[in-house]
Amino acid sequence: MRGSPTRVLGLLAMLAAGAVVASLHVGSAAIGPGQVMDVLLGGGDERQRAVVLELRMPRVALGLLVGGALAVAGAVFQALLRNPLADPYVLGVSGGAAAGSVTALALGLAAYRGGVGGGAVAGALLAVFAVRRVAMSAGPVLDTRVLLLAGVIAGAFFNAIVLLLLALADAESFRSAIFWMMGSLARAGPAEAGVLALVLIPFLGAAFALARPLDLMSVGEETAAYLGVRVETVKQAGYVAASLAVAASVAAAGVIGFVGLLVPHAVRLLWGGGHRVLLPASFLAGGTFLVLADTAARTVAAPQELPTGVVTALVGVPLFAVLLVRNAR
Amino acid sequence: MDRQRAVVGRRPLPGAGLLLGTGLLLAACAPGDGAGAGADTVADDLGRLHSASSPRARIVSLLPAVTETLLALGAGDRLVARTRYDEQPELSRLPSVGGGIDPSLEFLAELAPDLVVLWPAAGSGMSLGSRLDALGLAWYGARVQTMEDFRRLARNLGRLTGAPDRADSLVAAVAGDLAAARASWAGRAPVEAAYVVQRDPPMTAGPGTFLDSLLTAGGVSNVFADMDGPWPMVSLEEVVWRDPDYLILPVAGLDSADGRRLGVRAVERLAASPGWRAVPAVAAGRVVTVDASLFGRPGPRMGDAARFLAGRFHDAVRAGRP
Repeated sequence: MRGSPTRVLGLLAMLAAGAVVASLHVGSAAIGPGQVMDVLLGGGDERQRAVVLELRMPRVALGLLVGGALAVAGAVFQALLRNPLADPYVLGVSGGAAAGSVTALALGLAAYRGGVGGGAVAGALLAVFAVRRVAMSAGPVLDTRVLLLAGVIAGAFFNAIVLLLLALADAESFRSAIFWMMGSLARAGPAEAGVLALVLIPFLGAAFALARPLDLMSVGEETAAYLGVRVETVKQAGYVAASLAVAASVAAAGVIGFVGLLVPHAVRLLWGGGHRVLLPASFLAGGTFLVLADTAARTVAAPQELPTGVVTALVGVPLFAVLLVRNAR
Repeated sequence: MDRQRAVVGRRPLPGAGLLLGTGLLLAACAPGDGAGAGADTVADDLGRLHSASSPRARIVSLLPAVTETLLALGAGDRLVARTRYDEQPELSRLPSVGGGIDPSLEFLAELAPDLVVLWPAAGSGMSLGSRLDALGLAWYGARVQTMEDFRRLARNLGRLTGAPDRADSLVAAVAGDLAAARASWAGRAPVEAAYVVQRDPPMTAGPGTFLDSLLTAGGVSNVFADMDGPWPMVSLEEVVWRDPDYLILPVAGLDSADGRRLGVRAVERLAASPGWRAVPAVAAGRVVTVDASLFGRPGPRMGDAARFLAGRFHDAVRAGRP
């Protein structure tokens, strides 16, 4: 399965494009392939345009971006923390975002456009910087073991806040909060997807630029330092860039599990751990996987819809187990 | 584990039972058939038998629709507590036991009611019913999702409170209200609409539910009447595709002094949410707000709800102002 980086990335890009095209065509509304094309070229009737342009397109775009960002963040955290169990949420970002969004719901900010997303961003940023502050106070350099511990503790604290607010919430806010936390790609329109794309570009760019230092860091911080890596800068930049990418994703789509944990591992098993391939490959594979999972979520039980996070785990975990077993042989 | 949680596929979290406090109950379940009930016993919706020989004097209803039914049966003075969702002024003198699914058990034990009416969870285990059993409190399991469920409940409560005649007249009065609603739009074609049980993720009223029945009585054809199950989650794509002429949006507090503002805000919120704004009825401003407690409770006011719909859709449309 190994190939040159260009071939691997080319293959994944083709898969991603295929997933996008397929996803635009399926859904509970019966719109034929010709009609989808028509709509994309500016034709189609009102209902067809609403379904393809207002519902399916933003959803597919969001799936690509969120799945990609989570997978890249997972890969970065796994390298920085040198912990295979690290996922995008391990450092408390999702807990902070959940606490922020539930606070926004409890304060009635859901009535305003972007109120809940804004709360999520604020909570996630608070978590990112509080965790970093705590980790830095343990010594002159950022000790990733302390960082991990601080993240886990922050996550537990924010969870307690979420449960407290839920216990006090009225039925309507409670319901919204639970479903918000389950994660969904259905809450974004074209504008939201566009904003997320713009926000992600600098963070993902920064993560990609760290590919070579991350290769050396995954061997060990001292070795990396001997080889000329500015370890502190890489750790700080990697942590902040990946965390902010996760914060933006969570604000847009809630907490979608397993993509960020499993996709980087799957890519490593298939094509090795070099970050110059791993990071972009994780982006493409994560995006493709989430688009396909979401397409399944909205079609297998159509016209009913399943939670996307359920599908990512239900399909992702067995797939990953197969990869693990095959690789162990 | 509550069946209600399993049905909507959410993770169990403390307080999930609060969902039920809205009075709209999500579980899918077969109504009890009353088999085994004799002249001096009534069977609840789990088929458990209750003696009707002596009227109950200290009742706690954990379901808003049941509370309304008891008030309509003239048994309001038998209620010894309310839940935080029972906002009727005549109940404000009563202490609150908290939520309907997670009431304070300690407080219930202290009140020592001779009947607690509750929504029974599927399975036993740590269900509310089994905990009341442990406290020695008698409870009636009421699963009210259809008009027929309501009629059976009203008659059973009538017998348990020693007022079977009042129950018969209540059932007849609701039937009369529904018939009046149907008659008010006779000769006109029903309007196509979807009822928004929940905005995110979208949930609607399926066939056979009391909401489906009262929409029909009010001259509204439910575009989701062919779904499986009583409270189906549907994709927004499906809502766009079925293209209902109107959306019916329940709003809590619509009948309050602040109702007008709350209604306008709820519609604005729907129109601003991604996805919903793609629904043609939303884009065209064809969203009709209704009072959430009037429409969310399978109780004695169902006929009023149907008449409200008939008036809103058919009279207003006749006047050229939908």
